[in-house]
Amino acid sequence: MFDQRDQMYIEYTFTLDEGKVLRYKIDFDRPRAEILDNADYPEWTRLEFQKCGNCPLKSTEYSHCPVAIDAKEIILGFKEILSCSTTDVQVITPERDYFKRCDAQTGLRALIGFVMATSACPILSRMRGMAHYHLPFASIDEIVFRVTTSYLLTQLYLYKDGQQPDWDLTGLKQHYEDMQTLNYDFLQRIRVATEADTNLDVLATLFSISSLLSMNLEQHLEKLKPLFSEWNTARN
Amino acid sequence: MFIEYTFTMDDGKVLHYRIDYERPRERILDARQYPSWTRLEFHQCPNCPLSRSEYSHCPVAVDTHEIVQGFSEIISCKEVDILVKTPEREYFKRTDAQTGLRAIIGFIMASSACPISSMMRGMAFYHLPFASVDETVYRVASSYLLKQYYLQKKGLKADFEFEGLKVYFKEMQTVNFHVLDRIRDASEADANLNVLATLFTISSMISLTLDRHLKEIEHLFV
Repeated sequence: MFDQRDQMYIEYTFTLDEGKVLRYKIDFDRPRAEILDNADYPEWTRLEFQKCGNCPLKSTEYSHCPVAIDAKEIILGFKEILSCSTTDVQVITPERDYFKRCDAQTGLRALIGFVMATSACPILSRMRGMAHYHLPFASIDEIVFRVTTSYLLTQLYLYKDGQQPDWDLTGLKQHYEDMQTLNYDFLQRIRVATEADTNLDVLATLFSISSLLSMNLEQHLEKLKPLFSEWNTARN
Repeated sequence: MFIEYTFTMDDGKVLHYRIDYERPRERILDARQYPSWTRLEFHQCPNCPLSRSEYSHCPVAVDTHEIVQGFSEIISCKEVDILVKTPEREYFKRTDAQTGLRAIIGFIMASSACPISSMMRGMAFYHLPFASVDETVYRVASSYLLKQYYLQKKGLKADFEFEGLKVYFKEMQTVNFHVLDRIRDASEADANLNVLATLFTISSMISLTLDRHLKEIEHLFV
């Protein structure tokens, strides 16, 4: 059961009301060379093009931004999907199928979220573990639950390894600040790129509505607390 | 919050169940309205903290008594189509009957008033139908850690060694075993129901090998 992780993938199928079908299959692992041929990718995907202020990648070692490359490769058809108010979205994983009839943005945001977390970006890929257990169309409650518990699981491994765990979620809050910087800077990258290629404006739309990034973690965690208050109280 | 399970068998027959997350109920129920195998003292789990003077019926048995009637029929099929609807989305899987029954029973038990199985209530709120072993390990371990986070924030002692979780799984095994006894009696010795013995294998398996399973998903989180 665990050896299936190598083949982990997710398939998103958007069925528009007019009957048109758009399908995206994303592998969990997408190995790619660190230096890519400039001729194969547009200028705006180069690492130093509007590079994020907090990007840990070195321009000497990486030629392109991994998120930009991933985004560029899946963007085909996004405009058409976004022009519909609602679509049928089916998501197939090795474990089960998911379905939701929802607005186009919700569907595309779910897809993009998975792509970003499984990219080679050192900041976004901190969510890689969570992405392995991807939940399409996650609500805010679900996101808070998943982000927090995944972070705590990472701390457990550090703790077991004799390292200093962060049980107070201080690092998670820092991670959100990093994500905010990244989101802002990546949006600049897309905006500048859109001046040359208007097809990219759908990415700007998607990235600017990323609700995940603006949430108040502590406040949301207070809301979930009653759900987890029973566990242990009777026995420990 | 509610969950709907629809089992569609190959002969076209459909069984549909809707389960509310909150199911408030009196502690003393009218014995005429429920089958006798749902009474608290009938195969009561040895570790059951409920007192017979305060509770007339087993909450898990009362919650499951209606769906148990359809079990024989579902189990006699090799594979079924299972559609699960929650307020957030739909889930679908064509799978063996046991996997489907395990998913629905797991949700019912965790959201029931049973003081032991309801310790998984928080996790059940984020129910994942047909969870695989590694999904279950991820969900159980991380939910338990969230509980510890809240305890620690309140200034109480947190358990990062998972001692409490291991004890808990042992208790759950006892509960599973006795709930199964009840269901067997309820279904009048239908031979098909012997398959139910494997209904609860995931939790008993994890209880024995949690550390090893956690090791196996470690690479995803560090």
